[in-house]
Amino acid sequence: MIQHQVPLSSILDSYLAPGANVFIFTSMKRIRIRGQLSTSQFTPFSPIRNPIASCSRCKSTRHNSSQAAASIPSPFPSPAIKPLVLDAQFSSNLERFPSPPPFRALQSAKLAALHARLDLSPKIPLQTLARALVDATADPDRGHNNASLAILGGDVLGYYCSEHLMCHYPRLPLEVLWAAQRAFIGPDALGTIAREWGVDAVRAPGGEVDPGLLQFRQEMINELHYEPGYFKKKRAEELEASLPPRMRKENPNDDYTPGNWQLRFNEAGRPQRTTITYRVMNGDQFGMQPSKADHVPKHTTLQEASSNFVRALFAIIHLHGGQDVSKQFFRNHFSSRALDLSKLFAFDHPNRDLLLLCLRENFEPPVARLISETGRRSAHPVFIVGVFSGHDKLGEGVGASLLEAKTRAAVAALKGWYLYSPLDVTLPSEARKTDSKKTFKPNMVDPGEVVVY
Amino acid sequence: MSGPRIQCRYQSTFRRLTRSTAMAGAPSLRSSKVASGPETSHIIFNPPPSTPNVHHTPLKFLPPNDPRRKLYESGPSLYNLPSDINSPIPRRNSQSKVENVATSTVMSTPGTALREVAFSFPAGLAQRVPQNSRLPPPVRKQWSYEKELTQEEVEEVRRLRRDDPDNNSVNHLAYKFGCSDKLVKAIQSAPLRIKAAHIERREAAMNSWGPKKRKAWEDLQRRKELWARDA
Repeated sequence: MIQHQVPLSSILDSYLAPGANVFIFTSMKRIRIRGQLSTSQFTPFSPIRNPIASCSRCKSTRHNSSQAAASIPSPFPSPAIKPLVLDAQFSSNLERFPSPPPFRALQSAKLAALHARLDLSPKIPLQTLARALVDATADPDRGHNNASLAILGGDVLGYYCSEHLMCHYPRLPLEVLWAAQRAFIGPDALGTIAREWGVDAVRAPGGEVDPGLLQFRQEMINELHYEPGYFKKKRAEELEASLPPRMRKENPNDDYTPGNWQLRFNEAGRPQRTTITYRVMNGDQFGMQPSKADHVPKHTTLQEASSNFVRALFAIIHLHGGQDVSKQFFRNHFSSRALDLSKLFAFDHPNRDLLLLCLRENFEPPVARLISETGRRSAHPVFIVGVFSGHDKLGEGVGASLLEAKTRAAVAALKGWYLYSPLDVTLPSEARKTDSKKTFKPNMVDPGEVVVY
Repeated sequence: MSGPRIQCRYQSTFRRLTRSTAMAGAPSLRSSKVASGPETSHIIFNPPPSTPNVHHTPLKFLPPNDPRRKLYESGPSLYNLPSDINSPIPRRNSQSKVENVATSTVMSTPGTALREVAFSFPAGLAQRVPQNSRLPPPVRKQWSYEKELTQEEVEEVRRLRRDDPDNNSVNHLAYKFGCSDKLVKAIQSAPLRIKAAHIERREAAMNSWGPKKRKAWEDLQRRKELWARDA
């Protein structure tokens, strides 16, 4: 959702002569006040700013975080505080800044509401929350955007998520594990989470907009290079993408989601396959091609900016609250999301996979047996086939043909194997020396998935 | 000459058809009264037809130290049914089979309502078919182990397939050496020329298809991909 922001300063400027003093009373009645805040939080803001290495904007943030160690301050200003004096000259200068300066974080009702809605700890200052909302495309200054926080948050999120999946589903194939990670903490999921949290985005970033909005620069539609036949081509691409891979035209690079791994060539000039091993060694936490380091794009998308905000917020929670708090936040907002892992599987040769699995595990070779059937000579027969290893049923499938039912039964058996979940799991992050209640028990490590060539 | 054929249904036809197509009730709904208990002391176990849950790991797939293994094997479960489950004898006299039952679980103790439950569905639906019971019939002829080839025979197959693939097709060699075609393919795959010719022949055949056949084939491919995802 994109909101058109009318900057407060521009309204004031239109009514007031320059230099006039404006009194703004912040009404904070509906927001929980958790404690008192010293008036020293409102350090006079200097409008003069060096865009390269300026710390004037984050002065109050620093002050707060150092104070957080001594006593827990409230992120919200006290109602007993003196009314904030804003010089109209400052207001007119706000538009020169790429992102809202930190002192404005205390005036934003949106930011305070977001803080309260997420039930964040009072240790987390509003200024820091505001910084998490500034994307690198809005403000290239690393001291004021969320890029560094997003890296930390993404890594901590990835650690929690992979730990959760690998300990609870030790037999998941690597590609399914990647897909599950992507479903929990991938850009799509984080974008959705930010939307569910009610984070709105600005149309264009700037110092004068509400700091409670997500600040990022997006590509304007009139900046698109329009070519004749653009929409026709786009429709054809969409149609192509909707087809199953076997139906598509020859495209060596669409093994995975389009636009990811670049096609590589060996010395002989032949295209090289992007193997699982290559993806493990060179990919990011989703097995995808990582973005280039130190590359700040000019534009970004709402989804990308939202996911960076969520990552940065997670880093802030981790830094201010510690591991237990961030873990609880992960449980509340990320791992609690429903994901049907069994829908992430797609087998190429399920019958062969199952045979090799049984041979590897020293089970009797699987035999498909007809449990029940109806209407064999009719137009709509139904067969129920079970795959048996000895007297044990491994999986069961229903189909309109014997082959279909058999294939589905093999798929069910393979899913039964891969989706095994142990009963008692101790996550590595749960077992620490300080926590005497839990002792670490080694988790199950599986020999690995079945590979059929 | 004659008018349109009109379907005629009369009372006599209706009754005759009803009688001929009348089916007996499901065995699970036929009440099987326990001899020693009161009239209504039985359980009707007739769950709605549903596919098994893939999150239920079969007993065979559980690691040896999993606590569920002990539970399934020793406790009353579908892995641990009484072995005479397929017995056609009415359960009314189930008390007479006490000595046949090896395990002493709730489900295998005769005279209890839970024991009757196990008799109400075919053995193939159980997670583990009891040892004495007959397994459901295989979908295809029982897969048998093929003849083991000696090293000389393997070399011979490889030589023939590599040097003269035109006169030694996979099926021909499989028949000659008495093994499966898959084994021949595993010993020596076809040269690139043969593979390319095969693909060319197949594509030529596919190009001769009309739109209906092509669409039917493409739809089948799409459906097959859904089978493999179980979607």
